[in-house]
Amino acid sequence: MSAGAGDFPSDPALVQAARAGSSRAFALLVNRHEGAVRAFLRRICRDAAEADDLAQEAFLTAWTKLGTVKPDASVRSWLCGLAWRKALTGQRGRARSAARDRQWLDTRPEFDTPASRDQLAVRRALEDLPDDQRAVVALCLAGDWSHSEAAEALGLPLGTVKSHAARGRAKLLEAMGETP
Amino acid sequence: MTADDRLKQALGLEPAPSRPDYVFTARVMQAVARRRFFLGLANLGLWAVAAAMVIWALRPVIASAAPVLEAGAGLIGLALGVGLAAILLGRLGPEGLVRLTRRALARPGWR
Repeated sequence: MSAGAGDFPSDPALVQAARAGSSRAFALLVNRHEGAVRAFLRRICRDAAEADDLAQEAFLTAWTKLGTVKPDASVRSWLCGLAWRKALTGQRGRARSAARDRQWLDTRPEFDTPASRDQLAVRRALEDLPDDQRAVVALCLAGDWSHSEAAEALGLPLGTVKSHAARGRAKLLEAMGETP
Repeated sequence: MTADDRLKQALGLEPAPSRPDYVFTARVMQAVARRRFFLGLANLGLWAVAAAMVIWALRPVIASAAPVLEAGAGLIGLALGVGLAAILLGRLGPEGLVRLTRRALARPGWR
């Protein structure tokens, strides 16, 4: 494997080695990016177990599509893009799960702290956001991604990402009782 | 605390996966190994089907050449043996072959 810098080979080097058949290189890629992919999916799926299953499927798809990674592309964005498409195909199941979550949230006793109230309000508002907008919020507002990174990952125009981020932020703030 | 700080905090309260999660990586690699195995099996199956079709197509030729093949079985065996030795030599190199022979001779019960 050609290393980029000592013991920490760069992503393109790992992709190249994994494409050549190195399982170790692919395992390093998974280890390096699973946190970002799973955090993103957990924010848009609401169910941690479902998000982890989707993340696993996304990495498996990534292994079969290693040949499609562009040399100058960000591997993290590419992986999150794959995860996003996986999440979209599992949308129906997620809607059912969200309905169950909502029912549970409505019936359980509320914790009376400002932070938990905010969290519940944001969670409910996130569920009501359109898919694209929720993904942008999960990446840009919660994940600190730049607009251009999110645009690359989600395959959306930069302008659309900016407007989704602004509208998503406004809706979430409104849900928390703040004026946007 | 500003409104954006509150929003950030509410979004940040999501349970973040521990890093690095080697169990998750192991699960992914297990799935990859399974996929690799089934792809290999499918590939092998395709080659087997192709070989069977070629043999089926060459059936008349093989049937007519059977007596000749039987007569030359020794020669064919020799050629296969030489071919295998050449492949081993190419893969291991002379040093590798010497090492392999030494290891085989050093096994208990050889002498």
